[in-house]
Amino acid sequence: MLTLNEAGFTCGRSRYIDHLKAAPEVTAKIFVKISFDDDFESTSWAQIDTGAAWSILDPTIARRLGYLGLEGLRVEMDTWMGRKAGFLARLQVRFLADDGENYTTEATFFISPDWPPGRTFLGYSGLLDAMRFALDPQANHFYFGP
Amino acid sequence: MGHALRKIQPESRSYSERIRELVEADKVEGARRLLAEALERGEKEPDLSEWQKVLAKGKPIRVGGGDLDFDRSLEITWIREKSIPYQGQWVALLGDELLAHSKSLDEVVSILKANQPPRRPMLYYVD
Repeated sequence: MLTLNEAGFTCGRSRYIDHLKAAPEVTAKIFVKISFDDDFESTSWAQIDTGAAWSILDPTIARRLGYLGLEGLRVEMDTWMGRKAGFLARLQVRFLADDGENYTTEATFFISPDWPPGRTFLGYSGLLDAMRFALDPQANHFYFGP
Repeated sequence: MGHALRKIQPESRSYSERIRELVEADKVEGARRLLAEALERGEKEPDLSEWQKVLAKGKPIRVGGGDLDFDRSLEITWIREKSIPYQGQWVALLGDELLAHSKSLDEVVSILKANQPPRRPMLYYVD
C-alpha cells in the first residue's frame, strides 16, 4: 500500500473522519474504522489519541464480547471523564481497510464499566507503539500496518 | 553550609504495587523498566506475569483476513442528519438504511444476525 525505500511500509488504507457526531464538535478528531468481532462482522469508529497512554474500550462492546468478565489487573485511571476504576486486558483489534488489507493486532485496553458507551480510544502504549501509521489529511486517508 | 544527607529508606512495597502506581500515573516506560528489573532479579510475585502481558507493546497478529470495509459517507451523513431521535441507542446502518436500533447492543446484533445484511453494517452509539 505505502512503500518506503521500495519496501512495504503499511498494508492498508481507510478513510477517516474528523467530525462524527450530529452535534458540532469544537475541534477535529481522527476516527478510524475498527472491528473487535468474534462472532459477527461489523464496523465501529474509534478515536486515535496518540497523547493517551492507554487505549479504552467502550464497555458496551466489552460486555457484548464477554470481556467484562475477564480477570484483568485492577487499576484506577485518571481520564478526562474523571477517575475510573477498571482493569487492563490484552485484546485483538482489527483495523479495517478500504484498500489493501485489514490488519489485526493484539493490544492492551483499559476497560471500565463506568466509562460511557460509544467511546473507544486507541492510545499509544500497547497499541500504536508497535505499528506503523500515517495520515494524509488532504484526502482523510489513514494508513496502517505492522 | 552543607546540607544534611537524607538516608534512603529501603523500598518496602512490592514490585507489583510500585508498577501499578506508575501505570495509574501513565508512566508506562517507568513501569516497563521496573518490571524488567523485577524479572531480572527473579522476583516471583504472582501479578508480575500479568503485568508482563499488559505492559507489552502491541503485537502484530495478522495482515489480511475478513472483508474489506468501504466508503461510509452515507452512514456518516445519516448520523449527522438523522441520529438525534435515537439518542441513547445503538444503531446499525448500511448506507443510509437503518437496519436496527435499540438501547441494547446485544439486541441490535441479534436482529442483524437474524437478517444477515449483505455487507458489513456499521454500529454506532448515539450519545
